[in-house]
Amino acid sequence: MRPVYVVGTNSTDYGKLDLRARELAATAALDAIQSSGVPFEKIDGAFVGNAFSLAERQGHLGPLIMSALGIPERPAMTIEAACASGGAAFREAYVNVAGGFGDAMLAVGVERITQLDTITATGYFSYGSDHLLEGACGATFPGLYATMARAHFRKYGTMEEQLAAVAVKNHSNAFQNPHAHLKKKITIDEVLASPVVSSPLKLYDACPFSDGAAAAVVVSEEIARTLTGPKMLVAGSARAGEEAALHERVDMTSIGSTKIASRAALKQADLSIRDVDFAEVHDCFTIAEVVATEDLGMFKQGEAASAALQGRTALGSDLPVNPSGGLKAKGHPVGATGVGQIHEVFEQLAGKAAGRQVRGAETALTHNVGATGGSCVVHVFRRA
Amino acid sequence: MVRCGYCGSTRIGTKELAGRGKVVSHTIQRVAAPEFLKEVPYAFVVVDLEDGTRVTGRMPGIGSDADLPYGQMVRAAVGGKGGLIFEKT
Repeated sequence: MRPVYVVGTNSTDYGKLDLRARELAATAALDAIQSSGVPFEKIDGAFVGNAFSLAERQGHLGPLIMSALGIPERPAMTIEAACASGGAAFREAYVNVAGGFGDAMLAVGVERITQLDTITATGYFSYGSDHLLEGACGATFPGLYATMARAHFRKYGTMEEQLAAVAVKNHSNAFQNPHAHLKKKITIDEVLASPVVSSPLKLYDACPFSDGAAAAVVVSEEIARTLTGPKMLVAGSARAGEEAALHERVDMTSIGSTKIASRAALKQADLSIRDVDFAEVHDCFTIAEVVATEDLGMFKQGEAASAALQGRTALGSDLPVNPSGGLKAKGHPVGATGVGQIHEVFEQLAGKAAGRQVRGAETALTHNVGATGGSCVVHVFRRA
Repeated sequence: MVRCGYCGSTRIGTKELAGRGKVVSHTIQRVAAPEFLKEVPYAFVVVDLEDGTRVTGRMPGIGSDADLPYGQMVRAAVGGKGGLIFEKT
């Protein structure tokens, strides 16, 4: 395996955007390639993270994006792993460069979903579950995380106020992020008073439906050496899976694929979770950040919710979680999310995160989950 | 399912399940996908059946958490679209 570097990233704003997926993706990719300094003709191909392009009656996004970039002869294809599509697409770009099959690959993530009304979009999101046993039985995507939350409440005594603290923290971080969908500071009382979506989860426990795109340019050491801009090493990369249906797992309060993927990626990077300067984790719901920070090993099982309420994951703490605002407040354009996390890390390690900057950050971890854990992708990065 | 993830056996068959069990986790769905929108609020439940099998299902008419204490005994009711329908015993 060859060392692999990220040499340029970009992201569109996240939110309700009146652009088609191909336009969003091409916009993010154009900026990422131009900022990297890699000539367009050196790009060997692309992987596109996307889950729901059929909702805008369009499949086969890859060639459309490459055509929009003026390099139609370069191969590109969609990688689908539900909400982990973006992280999975980035990993395929990494694998290609690490294995010597390409010297410069593009990872793009994109989603356009807000043209659908909330109920129709809720239906689409449920297709990421084990639809036969979950979605078709009446469970929505929030409903499955709510089922996980209630199991966590019963096993560990976790409380709604503690989950609310995750939302308050991530909204506060997103307030400093110009790309964020929800730029609004909130209080614990406002979270608790917001309408119930799927008990015990309320509106402010949930991420929004967002459109958006993000892109990253992934290159070999040989190419990286020719470039003068900021760079980061992909120090660890791993994927893992588990039963798609939540109830088929031994423990409904934990995501096993997070444990497997994060241990493998950290081992490759020769780091422990405590060595990492910050983490961007998959917080589609407040309970998801609690479960993620436990499964990643930042906190013991059952202790992450109280830690969040104590501010132990806030900006300025020992291990800030989701300085970008996370899926919760930065937004969750499904296929873009995993690549957007990597864009945040690139900005942070380059010292360009302004009001949400993690001081002196040199290493970071990204954690991207598909549905309730059927897919998980973890990457570890080091400033180069 | 074509192969058991625990023992590796490919001798997969169908079996009649216990019709009764207890609710081990649930949510009250106040927002639903289009096909269930007319039923909200309702409960989505995870049930441990008396034979040890864990299944999912739905309980129409359960509109608040107070209606569904932990460990509530339920039985599978006949009929309804989309998976198992449970009612209190």
